[in-house]
Amino acid sequence: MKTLSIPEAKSNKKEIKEPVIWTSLEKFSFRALFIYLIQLLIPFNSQFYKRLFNFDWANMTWQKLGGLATNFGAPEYIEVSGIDIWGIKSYINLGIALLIAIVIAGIWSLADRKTKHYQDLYYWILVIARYRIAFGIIAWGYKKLIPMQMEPPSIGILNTPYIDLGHQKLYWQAVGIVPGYEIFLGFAEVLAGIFLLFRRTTALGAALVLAILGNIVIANHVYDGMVHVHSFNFALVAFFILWKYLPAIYKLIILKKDVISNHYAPSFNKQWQKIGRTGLKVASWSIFVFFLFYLQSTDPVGYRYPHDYPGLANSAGYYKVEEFWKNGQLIPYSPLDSVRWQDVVFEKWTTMSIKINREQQVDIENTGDEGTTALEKRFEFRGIGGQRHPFNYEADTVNKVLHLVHKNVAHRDQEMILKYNRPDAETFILEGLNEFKDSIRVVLKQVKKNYVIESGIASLRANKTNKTR
Amino acid sequence: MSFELDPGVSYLDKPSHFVKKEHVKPDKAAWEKWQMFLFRVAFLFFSFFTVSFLFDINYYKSLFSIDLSNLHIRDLSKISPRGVNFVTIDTPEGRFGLASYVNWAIVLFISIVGASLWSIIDARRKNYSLLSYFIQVAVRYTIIMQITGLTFSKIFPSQMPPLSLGQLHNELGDFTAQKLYWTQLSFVPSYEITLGFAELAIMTLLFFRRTAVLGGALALAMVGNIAIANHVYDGEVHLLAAFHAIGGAFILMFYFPKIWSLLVKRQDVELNLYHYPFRKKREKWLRYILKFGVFAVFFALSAWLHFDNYKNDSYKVPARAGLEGTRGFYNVKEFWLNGKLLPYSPMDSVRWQYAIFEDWSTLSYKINKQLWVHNEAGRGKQFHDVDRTFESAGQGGGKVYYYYEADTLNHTMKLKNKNKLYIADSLLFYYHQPSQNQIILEGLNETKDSIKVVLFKSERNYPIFYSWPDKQFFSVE
Repeated sequence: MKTLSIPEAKSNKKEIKEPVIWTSLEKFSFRALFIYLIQLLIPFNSQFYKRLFNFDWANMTWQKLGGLATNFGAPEYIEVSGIDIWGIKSYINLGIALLIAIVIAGIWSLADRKTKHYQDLYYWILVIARYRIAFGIIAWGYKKLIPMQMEPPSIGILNTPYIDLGHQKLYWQAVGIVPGYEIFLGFAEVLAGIFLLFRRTTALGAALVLAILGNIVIANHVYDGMVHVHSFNFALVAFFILWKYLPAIYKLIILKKDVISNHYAPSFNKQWQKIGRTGLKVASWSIFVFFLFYLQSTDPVGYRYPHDYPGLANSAGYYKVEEFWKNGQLIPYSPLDSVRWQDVVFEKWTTMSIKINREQQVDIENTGDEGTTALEKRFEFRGIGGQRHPFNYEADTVNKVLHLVHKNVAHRDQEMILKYNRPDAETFILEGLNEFKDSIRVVLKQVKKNYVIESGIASLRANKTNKTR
Repeated sequence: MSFELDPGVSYLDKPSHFVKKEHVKPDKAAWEKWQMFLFRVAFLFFSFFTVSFLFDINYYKSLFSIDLSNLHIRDLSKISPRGVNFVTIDTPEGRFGLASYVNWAIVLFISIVGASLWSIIDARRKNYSLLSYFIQVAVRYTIIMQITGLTFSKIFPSQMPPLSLGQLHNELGDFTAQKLYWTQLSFVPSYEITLGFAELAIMTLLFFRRTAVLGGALALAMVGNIAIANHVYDGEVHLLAAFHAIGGAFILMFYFPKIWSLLVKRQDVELNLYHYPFRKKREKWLRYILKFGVFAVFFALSAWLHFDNYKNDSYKVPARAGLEGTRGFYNVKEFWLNGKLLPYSPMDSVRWQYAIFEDWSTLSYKINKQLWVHNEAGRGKQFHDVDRTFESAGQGGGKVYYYYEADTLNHTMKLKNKNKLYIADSLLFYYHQPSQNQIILEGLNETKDSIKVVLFKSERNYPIFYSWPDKQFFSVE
């Protein structure tokens, strides 16, 4: 409803109507920016739409819904693979998108010489950008706010030397050990997203996204984190959103001059416009802010480790290898032996890792998409080199047999079938054929450990390692 | 009030219309009662942390103890302003928790009482534009002078120096959270340098009046993050970081309502902040001299000293060179205890599992024994190598670190435990090197048992030293 009232004194300026005219440079820049942003913001990927229309809303998980908000990025005109994903070449698609934008803007400029300005189009492309970035950063933030993006280290990682971890892994573990910090980071990301969803707080939200994601881009470069391009997309779009506010902020706080506020927004006067606007807002908020939070908070178990595949009951822990028999011969402990096991870790899930002095290839992928099977959830050993060999097991608890497969994709050919026997709660006796078809017999004894990292300042209060063996 | 068109001020969206209002001069403006009171409190509070040191005799004592002919990065903190410390609570809560803010609470209390008295005495004043200008100056320069060390020891990466081999072979579970947080930067010097430049940006922006607000905002964001991280990781420098964050917030506060009006309320905004004009010649010169002095000492000299320190004697890394060519990880091939050969065992509390020599004179080894963790976090800028404990603090796991002095003529090593909780442990070993990668040590261990240890160097490549595209295979011993 439009009321006809006399404008108040403070809105004086709005009465002065001047024809809006953009210079040709402004018009060309806008056309290029528009085409560029369209490429970044609208998914041109048939896979995306296939997923969207095959959504099973009844059995929705936060992974699927959150993935919808976070996953798609710049168009893939050229597939970047191999060593290129780490270097400057990984940004090639953004370059191509820019080229396309300039070419189309050129054609557009030739074809359209009449338009005086693009106020409305500018407004609408920024609306799309705001919502796109907001829902993305909120979904990203939720994974930290309910801390699961960086999970606390597994027992295997606690027993891996610092030197055997890659940069990215160490960086993530440093966040994972302190949920309080992860929650703080998640809170900052969600707050930035919420700011972007309101027209009035857009500038604050965009600035916050730019600061947070800018830092993530740098960190992903220095720690080989692999999501630098994706984060850069977000930071770039946030910068474009912020752009129109910058001159005013600069003039106010740096040049200390007076600034007139004047924001263009199309009027939503007609009934259908109002309903449409409110409806879209309510629907998108309900799905990506509230429903996603509901899904995530009702499934707070992490997704990096195979939590859905519980290991043998009461087996989790660190084990020393008391006896190791190979083909009927007892082999004494040695850190140099390439066959004898040095220690064994049972996780809470179906992973058994063995420390052996034998080379393995490092699995270097860092992706948000973990597989669904226990074997395919590879996070726990990605980015780690050295001597701890991860095996996933399937247990036949009736016949007491473990079927073990090496979790490292490069060594999947290594399989073992071992009968197990637990004479008491702390002991495992494993017998069978190892990955080289040698018959082995291994006696494991659990060692209770308290880790300095877990006892926190309690260990300092006593000024003591609580580690007992 | 008159309005006139003033093209060229600013605009957000087109079309733009420019109106210039005539302002009430900021030093004539009338402040609200509550603004007056809050300002008095803030003024007193920040005075304690920025200028009160000028009345502290100890400050001058340490100032005049500086040896000008032989300047060191340690001297910078003797010149820079310091906060107040009425009481120290030496409990974990007092070091890490809320109780560590006790001095802040005392200062705040004094400030509130002081402000109340001040309100009575000085009831007729209309504003404090002059004082508000100068307290901002004090806060700005205090932050600059206090973070210069952190800035330049990151730009010349020595605040988080490269990790020792001894640290690197510790398992992740054997570190304190603080140590893991801190060492995140140790293996990526490029990131440490980047952060250093971000802190230099804070200093530079705060140095100029025009850009001070950006410096304040950046200090609040960056150092505020550091303060929170120090809380959650028990890092123990949260107080200093928290002060710089609220100092930044204080400067930002004078602008923030205006920024909020502009961006959020979408109103026309005039900034209209008071700044002291420095009209008299004397004042002008004094200002230039002070400003130049701060630049000369806390930017130029500080940069030079930190560069020199980084190049010649990185302050957290022991200076004395270790036995030549010995740096490496050693397997313990043989271990004799009182003439008896002990077999390999990860469960033995006496037998060494491995030993490590560094580039500098540190020998560390691992045994299976409960040991006390010392947690001075390897902080401070120690003179003596034996006190430079960055490599051993905040880590458990049965790891023992010895500082040693080798007599290369008689082939003896005098060793001293670096862990302050085992300061009494000092050993004497005879060593010989039958070959390039073999070292034999003989002597009495800390329980006065005679030991003979035969060490073999192991050559391995480790993931942490490589970027992923370079290498994916890591050979074993």
